[in-house]
Amino acid sequence: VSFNPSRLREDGPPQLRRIIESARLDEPSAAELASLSAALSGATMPMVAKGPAAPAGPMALSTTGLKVLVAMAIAGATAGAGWWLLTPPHMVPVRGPTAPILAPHAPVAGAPVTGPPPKEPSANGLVGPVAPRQPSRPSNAPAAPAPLPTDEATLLSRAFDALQRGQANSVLAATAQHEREFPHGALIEEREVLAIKALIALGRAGEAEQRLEAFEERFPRSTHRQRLRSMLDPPP
Amino acid sequence: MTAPPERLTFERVYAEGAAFVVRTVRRLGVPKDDVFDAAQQVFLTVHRRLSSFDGSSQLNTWLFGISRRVAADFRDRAHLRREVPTQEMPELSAPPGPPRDIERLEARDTLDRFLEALDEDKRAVFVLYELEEWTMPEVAAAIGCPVQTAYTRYRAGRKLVEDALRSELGEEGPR
Repeated sequence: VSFNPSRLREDGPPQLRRIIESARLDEPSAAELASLSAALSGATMPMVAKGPAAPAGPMALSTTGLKVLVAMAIAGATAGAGWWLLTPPHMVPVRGPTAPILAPHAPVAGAPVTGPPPKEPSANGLVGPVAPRQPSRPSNAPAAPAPLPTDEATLLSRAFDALQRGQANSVLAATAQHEREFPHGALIEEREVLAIKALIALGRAGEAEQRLEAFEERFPRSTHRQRLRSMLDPPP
Repeated sequence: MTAPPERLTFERVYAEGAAFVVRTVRRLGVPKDDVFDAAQQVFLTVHRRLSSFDGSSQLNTWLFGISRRVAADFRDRAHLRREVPTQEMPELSAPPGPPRDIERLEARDTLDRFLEALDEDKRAVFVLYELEEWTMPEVAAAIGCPVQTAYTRYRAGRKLVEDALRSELGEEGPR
């Protein structure tokens, strides 16, 4: 399921789009990272020396390695050649969870485990997080706040995927089904957005206009209005 | 014949995740002066728990979980920490970096003000989806909630941010 709503920086108010776009580009400087690295180097050495919480192997911190990082960072800051200075932040390789890159380590007996046991990767490569403050997971989270009916979200996810693939008729079929089965659903706004986009894609401008007018009346504060209107009435 | 497993080292976690951790704790509301202390705390936790990290999960998802908890602690203790400086952690203040884009820093501050309108759950979803541009299923996995719950939180958070902008501009919301 890949149901991703539009982002503010795509269709939010212009001022907010500018703010978010700029804020997204904000990164720690090379000097800041070097300082952090240096402090970590100092702070972790006593822990390593103390044991027993610091077993050998991948857990053991090589201060030499950190020194290399510090040197790299300082060199980058000095020469202006650090990747974090030159690479646009959206190209920095930490956007989104990194792909599984590691073979599982054998758990250490008695080591604190901060989350549920890991799960097999799902179809989209996701695996269970080790997030400490969220004890519940989708599979065992009865206390989740008012979850939407799964079928409703799933149905519109299908419509969204169909729209991405350019299958506008499938979108309309799915949104019509949603309208029949969930007349008071929680995702009506999203359904209408999908249907209007599909009608526009099919060139059925009159129906799209009619549906958009109804949408604007029903959801006057919707953040989708402006984008839908611009799709239907592109500027000359 | 499969390749021998690649071993995760602390250095590698740092190299791949340092910028992400700093951004994350800042965006999750850690006071400006504490951002690098919080990032340091995250990596100390990483160092302590690296052996329990299962390699089949995703590195940044794991780092986000730690960062989120540390950020919450720093927010909660912010006033106390300012009044009673601790001796436990070495002093680390961010040195002035190279000349930075003023607009970018102003945008950061402005967005930080808007994000104050969000509770922790909405803020976490907003940060990952809007600013880090993870997909919603990735966000849900990191937060530990169903996708539709993450989606609902994003929508609510997005609206609050828009309202904060209107309020700052002295505008009424559209009728």
